[in-house]
Amino acid sequence: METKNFIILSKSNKEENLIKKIILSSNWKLILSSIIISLVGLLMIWSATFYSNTQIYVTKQAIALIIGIILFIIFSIINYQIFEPYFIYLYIFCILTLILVLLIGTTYRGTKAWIDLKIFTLQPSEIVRIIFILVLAGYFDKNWRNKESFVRFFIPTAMCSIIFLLLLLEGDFSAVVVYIPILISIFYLVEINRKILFYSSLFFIFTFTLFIIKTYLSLANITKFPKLIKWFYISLTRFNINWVIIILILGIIIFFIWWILKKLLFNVSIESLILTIFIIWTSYSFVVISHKIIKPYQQKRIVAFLNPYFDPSGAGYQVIQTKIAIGSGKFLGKGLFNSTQAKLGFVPEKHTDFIFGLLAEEFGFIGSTFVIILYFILILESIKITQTARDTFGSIIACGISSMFSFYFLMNIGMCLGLSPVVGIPLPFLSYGGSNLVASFLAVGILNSIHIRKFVY
Amino acid sequence: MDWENAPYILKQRLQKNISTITYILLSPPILLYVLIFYYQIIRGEYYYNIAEQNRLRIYTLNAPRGNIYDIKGNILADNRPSVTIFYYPIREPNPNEIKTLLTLLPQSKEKLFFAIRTKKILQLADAVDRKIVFKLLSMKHRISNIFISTEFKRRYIENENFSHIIGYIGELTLNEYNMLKSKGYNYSDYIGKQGIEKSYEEYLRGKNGALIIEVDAKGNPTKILKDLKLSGGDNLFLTIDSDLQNIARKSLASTGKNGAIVGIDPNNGAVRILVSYKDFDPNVFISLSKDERKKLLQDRNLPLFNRALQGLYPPGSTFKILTSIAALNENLVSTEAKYFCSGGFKLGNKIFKCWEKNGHKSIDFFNAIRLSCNVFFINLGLKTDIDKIETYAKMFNFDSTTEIDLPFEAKNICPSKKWKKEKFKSIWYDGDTASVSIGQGYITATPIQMALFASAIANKGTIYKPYVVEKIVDKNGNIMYQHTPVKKNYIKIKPEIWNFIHKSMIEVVNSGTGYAAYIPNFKIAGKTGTAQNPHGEDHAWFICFGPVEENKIPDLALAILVEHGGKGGAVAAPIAKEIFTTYIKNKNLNIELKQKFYRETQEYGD
Repeated sequence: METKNFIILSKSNKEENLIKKIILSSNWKLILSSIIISLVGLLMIWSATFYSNTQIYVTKQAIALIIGIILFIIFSIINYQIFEPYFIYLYIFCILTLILVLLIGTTYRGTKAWIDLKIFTLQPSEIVRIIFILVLAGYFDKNWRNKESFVRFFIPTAMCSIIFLLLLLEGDFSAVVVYIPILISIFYLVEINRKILFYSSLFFIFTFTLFIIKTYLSLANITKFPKLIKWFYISLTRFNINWVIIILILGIIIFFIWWILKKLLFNVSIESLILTIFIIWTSYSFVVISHKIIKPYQQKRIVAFLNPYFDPSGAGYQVIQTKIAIGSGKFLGKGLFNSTQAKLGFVPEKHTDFIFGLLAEEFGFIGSTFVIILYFILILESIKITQTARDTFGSIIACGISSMFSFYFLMNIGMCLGLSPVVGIPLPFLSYGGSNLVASFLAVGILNSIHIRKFVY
Repeated sequence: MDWENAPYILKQRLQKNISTITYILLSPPILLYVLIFYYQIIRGEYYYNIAEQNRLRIYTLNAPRGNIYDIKGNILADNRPSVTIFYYPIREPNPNEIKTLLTLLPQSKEKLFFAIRTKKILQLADAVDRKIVFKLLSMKHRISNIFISTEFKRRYIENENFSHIIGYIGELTLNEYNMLKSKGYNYSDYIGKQGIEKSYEEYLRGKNGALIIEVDAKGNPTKILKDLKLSGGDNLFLTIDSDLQNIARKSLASTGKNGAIVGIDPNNGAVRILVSYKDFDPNVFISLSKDERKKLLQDRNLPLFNRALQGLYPPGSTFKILTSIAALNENLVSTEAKYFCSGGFKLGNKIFKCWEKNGHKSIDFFNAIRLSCNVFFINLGLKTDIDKIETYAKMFNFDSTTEIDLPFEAKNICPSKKWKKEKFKSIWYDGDTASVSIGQGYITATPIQMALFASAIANKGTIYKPYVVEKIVDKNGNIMYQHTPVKKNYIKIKPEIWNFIHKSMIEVVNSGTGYAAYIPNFKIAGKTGTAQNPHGEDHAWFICFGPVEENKIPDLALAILVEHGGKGGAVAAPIAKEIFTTYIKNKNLNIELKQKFYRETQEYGD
């Protein structure tokens, strides 16, 4: 095998004007958009903490920004390909870090995800996520010739599941959620067996919807439900003879669907039918288990977007008030430091998860447009790098990172608008949170490193 | 070399998958951008208003309503100040401040500590003693978080006497609130519900002050955004003479019957007296005592019903004057006309009785008015015909409201052939004409209309629009409104007819049915009326005006109605006597005062 250079730009190994070459071939759209978003973020954090005399947040974020930019420069210069052979060590590093967090981590709001380093606290799961993308990319790059489902699907899923388990033990539910879109998009990219992809997606979708439905029902006042649903729900929650009836009914319904589909000349095999039922069953059991792990306040947060009045003083309140904040910004916004919803405490977490509410209130539609365009450029450039990357390794990394950004963006702003569960996903570059900012810049650094080396042959 | 290009070959295969991923990953920003456009641009105004509601707390300070005075400047309605103390925890309280507050307001200790603990705006004390208020004011620089607000509560000084003129105020109902929201009314505001309080609401109301405070999510005040000062309402000066009003009310009440008295100045239409009995104490509506209000609403004498404006009664014999004027002015009879009264008038199957059972025998016009002979006027009415009577009744405003500046006035009913056809789908009979010509049957009028009628006779044909508000003065003394008499109509009638009518009406008081109103050396012209009604005893009427002097319009025209009072001459006329006695006394007093004032100025002048 070839040995990859630490800083490789060409095969000739004759590096002239290294820095000039790096600067010229960097993806400046990507770099500028991420830096501008971070600066807007700094401004918004300053505004959020302006009257409460806690300028420490701005200072911390600024320091994290500097660290992030330094890491970005380092990872731009380093050839990303050098990680490829060492993915197994990186994976072990991920696991060990998470175990370390479990051992010495500090608990904050029910989540044991931080390591207190006295000067600042570190959230390793943010960095682990980026490294795990490298691990997956390295794994697929190594096994690209192997078409076996076991290699292409089950091993990566197992690798991911270990991390899931550790994160769930930490109580970091939101961190788990982000892995799923990354995993699915990488699976799609590397062309695993379409059937497996279909069933695994089905599993995730079922789990997700069932989980939300289950949480919703457990919190809702069931006496107001129609009789049939009530009977169904009570039967499901208590293990009794009704289960047999339900299973029988479901079986008959599914059989008829299958029969109709067959009549309509869709080739649906009986095996796939059984597999679907099996997946529904597994996801239901998964939901029942995870429902017990998740704390009541988290349950309320998760379903607050469906009905904010479940928890009008908690998560539901956050959703309602943030929506009001966004809407009240109108076209021009209320001006810097002049927000009322955010400043007077109606919007909670205005410097972290709900920072977009503050931004939309103070800068209005113009400000939102500006930031959304920057994110659009960021995601678009990441996907372009996926396309133009020199090799599979780079392509998979870029795919993972861009789907991560896109998903973060969707979940966070969806949460602000009351469309997605309040799971505490930050807006990359904008929200307060040093670890997230550093990790995001690290990701951008890797993307830039891939971009710089796309021309090299 | 193949192995070198291997990653590249694999990558080529990935290309076709990337385009799908591109679409999926780029859709969130586009989708959310559309949603944000919806929330910020299309629904922006809605959310902006909610955000404002979230942060603003408005505390209104009710403005005092304007005072109401009578024509002589006697106060009829004013405001009683009631001091309320609020606690605003905007600044951090210091122990000294709390200590001084506690010594001054020991009874609100719990409230104060609650306000400090919860950081909520709280009303510490209501109706505070003036001494404490002055002490607080003198220490205001030391106590920062206190707000002293003076609330004004309406007070009606003359209690019942003016209840149907001034009316009363009450809290807004939900309907009123929805209608008046745009004019700046709050739900807890008071609004005029009756009388002048209602019709002059916009002048009396004043402008409420407000304290607009910004609060945070927990409801703690953060800063005062606006402090709008209140300004009181304008003062009203009425045309009512409280001496006459009081004596009128007193004499009506002493009959023990319900009724109404309206006195109008025939020179300009100014209302000097407006009594409707049974009446009520308007202070009841301020004091919030539900029992008393309930009692008023359940009283069978209907104290809230303004008989002077809303009550429709047949005018009885007082209407004979109109029949006379119509007949004389149309040259259908002369003043010399004579009819024979046998004690009844047979028309078809029906017999119209005269009040004199034996009949007046052969009676002339003059004595017919003096003695109020029914048979004479039925003859006269049939000769004149209903169309002519209707024309004259309309001239004297019997077909509409008087348009007085008080609310809820009832419309008089002036019957005609057309009216009967529309109302009863039946033709007009001579019997109807006979009834109307003696003021019975379909014709009904309000007491204020009868006063207007009396005043039009007194000033020989001018119908003035009656009014109760002479002028409106704002709190700086600027005159906002000054009433000028409004002529509604002028009825052209030969002077000799007026002289004949006046002469005969004077004789009614001097030696006729209205003798009970006779005052020596004071000429009053009047006409009694006894309106039959199917529900009980007759209503007693008396319309009159005086003093009747050569080339001078009388000062006061009265219409007195006593419900179920019996004979007008016996029940209503004595009330007129009392009113005019007071009138004479006051006039003499005024002359004396003027002379005294003149003498004094003479003495000090030089």
